[in-house]
Amino acid sequence: MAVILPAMLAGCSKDNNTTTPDPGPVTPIDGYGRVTMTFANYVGNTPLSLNNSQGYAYTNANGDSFNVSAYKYYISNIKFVREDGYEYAEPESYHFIDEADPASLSFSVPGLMPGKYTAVKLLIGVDSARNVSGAQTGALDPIHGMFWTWSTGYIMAKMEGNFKNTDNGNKSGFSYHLGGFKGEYRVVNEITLSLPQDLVAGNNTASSMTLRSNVLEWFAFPSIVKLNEINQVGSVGPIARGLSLSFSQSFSVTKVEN
Amino acid sequence: MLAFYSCKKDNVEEQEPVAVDPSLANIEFKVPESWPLPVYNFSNNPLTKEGFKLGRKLFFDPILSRDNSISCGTCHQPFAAFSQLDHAVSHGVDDRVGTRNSPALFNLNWHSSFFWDGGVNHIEMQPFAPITNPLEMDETLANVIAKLQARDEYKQLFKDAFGTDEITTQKMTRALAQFMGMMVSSNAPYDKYMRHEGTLSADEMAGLTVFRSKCAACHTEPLFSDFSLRNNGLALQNNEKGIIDSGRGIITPLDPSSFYKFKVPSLRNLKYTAPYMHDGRLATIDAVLDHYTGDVQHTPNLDPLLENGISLSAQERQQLKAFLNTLNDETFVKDIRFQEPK
Repeated sequence: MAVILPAMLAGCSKDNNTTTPDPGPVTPIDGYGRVTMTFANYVGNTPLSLNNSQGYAYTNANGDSFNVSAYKYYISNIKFVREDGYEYAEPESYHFIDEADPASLSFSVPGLMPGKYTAVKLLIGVDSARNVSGAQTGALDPIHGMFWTWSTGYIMAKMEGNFKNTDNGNKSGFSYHLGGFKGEYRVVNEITLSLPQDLVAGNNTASSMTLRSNVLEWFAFPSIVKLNEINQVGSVGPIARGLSLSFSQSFSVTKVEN
Repeated sequence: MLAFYSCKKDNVEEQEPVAVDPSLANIEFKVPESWPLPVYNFSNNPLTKEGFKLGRKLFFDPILSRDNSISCGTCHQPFAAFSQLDHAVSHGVDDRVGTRNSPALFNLNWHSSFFWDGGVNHIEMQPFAPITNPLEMDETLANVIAKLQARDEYKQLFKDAFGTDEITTQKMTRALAQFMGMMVSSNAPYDKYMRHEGTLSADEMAGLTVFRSKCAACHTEPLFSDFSLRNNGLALQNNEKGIIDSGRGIITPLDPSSFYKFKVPSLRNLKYTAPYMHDGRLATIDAVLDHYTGDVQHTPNLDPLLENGISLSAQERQQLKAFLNTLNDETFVKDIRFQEPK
């Protein structure tokens, strides 16, 4: 709980404080623009609040009441698409987003060539190269617990929580760990998100972008997920693949400020 | 910072002749003559005396386990070619019994995958599995790092090895990879024969011929494994946990063709590495040969090469055993570089 409470507070202050983007630890690069990206995790239209014990605040499309105790994922290979088609790829672009760690929800990307950017591309998960290249550090450190040690590969996304069984009213836990970096059940997906307004980069400009992931989307694709039926996912396969597609669809860019 | 660092390095090098630790005197990775290029060549993890020393310290330190009772060296003993003498399967913390035989460790830089099921794809990722396995060290990576950071000795060793006392899982496993990757076994009588430095007896030569015609398709020279995953026809029997070990099937459960396949082990150093097979069920080389000559089971995915077992006359069997004995590398198991530091 000690960890969760600050996360909730930070979530609140973020919403009230969107006019001044956090420059982050990244040094600006002279002559280029910088954008601060903030990930806001939502349940429908409500900011996600991690909650392991206080009831079942959320309801999915199947009508299951549930809460979420952990919500973590990898974003990598971020590319910014300029109106003329040029793409700026962030170097060493690996970000671990953990709802329980407010510091992880926001980061700055310097080095944007001047111009108007109309879209952003994200890889949801960690590219296969970093799954086969030996020990990694920083965001990719296995210490974050987003890694299968016995069958090498990153857990690209984790959602854990509790739900009320609609058949018998019993309380149960659910755990979705999405892994698999190659083959037909790969859970790493690239998405392209259009921006609600252009991101304008110039000499030493600081812009901000808010991206949203909607928890409810996990349960929406390819057909409505019933928590009674699918509540433990921890290996590579068609279910993880299906959930990864729906999770990837959960992202949108809700705000750009220049 | 950089200038200071290189300056310090130079001083260290000047002092070397005064205080040479003989177990660190020859830390250089060489690909033995006529061997294939290794998979891992330290290209992202430059091999240094200091990195090797740290890796060796970590390898033999039970600090990596939850209750500080089990080290890598507990189940991988130098005198057993880094397998575990007389243990069919590994024993972890709280006397928990594992399900698989501790594999011998040598020539690891040539391996493209690790563990009996090949589930781990890189030597630097290998240590994470036993550290976190509840039946082995049962520790969390966060705890391991915290315990190492709390020891001044380790801060210094990491600084010596990597130029900073920051301790991360990456530096830890890279140091372990430096130690384990250095373990090259290439000085058996067979190797000396191949290098024209020694001879084999008539029996051993005849055994080499038998080996090449009946075993070498999987146990490829000079590493004596092709490192593929195969079902060698062992009877499907319950393991310590009361279940049949499906081998590669644990890693790829949706692929029926992967079931009951295990990584082909090297035939080097058999003298030191009994018992044999993924679950240590066969105690002697004779028992292994009995299996191949008369007891291969037609289980799903049996390797086609073993469809009819392996036929060996009594003489061929005796010659083959003589040849296998030429693969024992005594200099390797006694190499002072790889012993537990005092």
